[in-house]
Amino acid sequence: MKKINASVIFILIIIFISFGFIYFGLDLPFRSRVIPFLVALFVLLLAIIQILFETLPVFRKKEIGKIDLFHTERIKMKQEKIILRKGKVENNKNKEERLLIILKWILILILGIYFLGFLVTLPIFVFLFYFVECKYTWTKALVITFIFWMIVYLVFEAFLRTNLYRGIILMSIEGLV
Amino acid sequence: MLVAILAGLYQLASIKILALMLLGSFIGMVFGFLPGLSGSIALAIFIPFVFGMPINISMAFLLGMHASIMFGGSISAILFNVPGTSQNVATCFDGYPMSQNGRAAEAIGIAGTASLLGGLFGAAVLAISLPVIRPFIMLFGPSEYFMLTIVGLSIIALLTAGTIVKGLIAGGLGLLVSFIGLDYITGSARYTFGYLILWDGVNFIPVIIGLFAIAQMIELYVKGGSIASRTSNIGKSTVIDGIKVAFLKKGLILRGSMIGSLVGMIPGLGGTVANILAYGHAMKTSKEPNTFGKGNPEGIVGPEAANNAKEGGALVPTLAFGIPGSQGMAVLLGAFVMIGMVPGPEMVTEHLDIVFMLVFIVAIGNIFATGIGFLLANQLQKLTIIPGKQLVPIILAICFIGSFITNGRFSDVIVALIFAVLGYFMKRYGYSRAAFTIALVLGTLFERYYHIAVRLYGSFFIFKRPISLILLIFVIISISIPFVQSKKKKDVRNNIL
Repeated sequence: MKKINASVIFILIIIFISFGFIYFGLDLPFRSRVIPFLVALFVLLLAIIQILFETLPVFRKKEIGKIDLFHTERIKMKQEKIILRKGKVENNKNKEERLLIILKWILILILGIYFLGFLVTLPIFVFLFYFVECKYTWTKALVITFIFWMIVYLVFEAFLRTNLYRGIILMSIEGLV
Repeated sequence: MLVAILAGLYQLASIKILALMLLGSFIGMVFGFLPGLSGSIALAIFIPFVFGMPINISMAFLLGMHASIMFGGSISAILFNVPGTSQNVATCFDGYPMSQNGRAAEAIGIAGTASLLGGLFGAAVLAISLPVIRPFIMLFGPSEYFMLTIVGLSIIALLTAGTIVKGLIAGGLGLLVSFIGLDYITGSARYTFGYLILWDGVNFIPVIIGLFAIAQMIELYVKGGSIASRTSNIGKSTVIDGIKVAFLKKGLILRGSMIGSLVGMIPGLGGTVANILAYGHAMKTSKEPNTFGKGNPEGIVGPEAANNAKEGGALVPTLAFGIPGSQGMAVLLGAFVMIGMVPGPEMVTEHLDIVFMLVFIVAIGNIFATGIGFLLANQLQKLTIIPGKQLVPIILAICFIGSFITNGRFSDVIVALIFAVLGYFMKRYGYSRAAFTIALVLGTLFERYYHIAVRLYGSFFIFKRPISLILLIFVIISISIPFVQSKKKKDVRNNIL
């Protein structure tokens, strides 16, 4: 089976979202639903058109070929294409891995903030990122972390008094949750 | 009149006041630079500090600070694709690509010059229009507001020429997201799934932080390297180049400033609308619309002139009628009242010297902000050659703090994350984030004013209101011109072949 293109999956998600807007809007009063309904329908239609663009060979751009008696140009192009594709696949593979790594880091950061709050999570996150990802020595990572944490604390907590989120663990200890 | 002008200037003629304005400008720039800290937050924090001070000193500090916030936001938009305030969002579209090309200092020079000239234009508009503005503002009603949103939405078609289907999908998604929340007309909760936090709709600040800033950090990590890919240009581009480029676009600065002042004067539209309308105008009138989004200086000039000119414009209804034109102006109005100034028609008749003092503060505040920005530009430019990996943790942390502090809700951090992932994939598969943002900003206004206009004037309200009709004709012409031009080009090419 042919591998489904990632961009097609993205369009399918868009179709799913617009369908959701139509479906969940059905219970709303007419005035509330009319414009969202029309917009969602419009997006749905466009997304279907885009899928057709990306999947049907008829819509794909045709390669402009030259008159080439011995097909040398075409063979050369094909060879180049194969090399490019190979490189691209490897590059993409590398990209996907890196994407997963950064998403993991972000997820760790968010979960950390949720459980431990900004003031505890940020220094841990910054230190670990510099130490593990950037391969800094632990002293260098610690110094950067300390400076960053001090700036965050002084600006947002001491000066602006923004009451940064403290995390559910600390808040439950304090009886706030 | 001349006496009032001189009296206004005299009230600021003190080293102490100028020093306070300079400090205010610096603080304003820092607040603008950091995402999530808006002008209204800065004002709210510093009002208690100036309580009890004479009007000229307190206003010099507060308004000077407020006038500098926009330019601070432009700097982070240019350097990191992080719009410092929601009103700098259009600056990202071309400012950041310029940084990627190693032209960050030039971009800051352009933004600073356009901001300064826009700010001075706004101050002049404030001075000139205050006594005569009332009938003009009264001409604008829901029908005209609706058509202004259509003008803004029409930009999507131009912005995404070449990938029109993807552009319209992105715009449509932006509109759909803007519909989430309590419907102003019927009072019913739409697409909230029982979550109270969604009743106010999706908060715009976390959305743009996610869509642009965090998504950009993800991309930077995935791509590797630094922001400025062509490091050879670093050091070659200077602020002076940017100033020269901006002065070459005098007409665009003037037109962007006019758009900004006009939108600022109309309460309820907001600075983001001014920023986006000016971007669209810059694109429509450009000789190279295809280079927009890839680092065209005109994409910075127009929006920057507009968002600074907007401040002067927004002060007009605030001072003349006591109607704040924006959230920042609402807080400033509170500050006026606290320090003993009562905005209203009397301001023009009895306190004209104070009005001119405020005009001078806006002008001087802009000069200070630009000066500070220019002094730091070359140093700030070096941030773009730091390896992306080293920037990612710090900027991610600041972005999530910025998302949280706008409303003090953890849910906004999640919103930022969701839109970061969406923004990353949108960029990867060629869906315009700019189109999404424009639609998101204008979606709520579009729907609200449509319903109000239909109720007030009937279904064919556009044809019953002359300004609406003019705006409709303007939209039709501005959308069709690029298509006609491209068809003409095609015909010429076919004839040659």
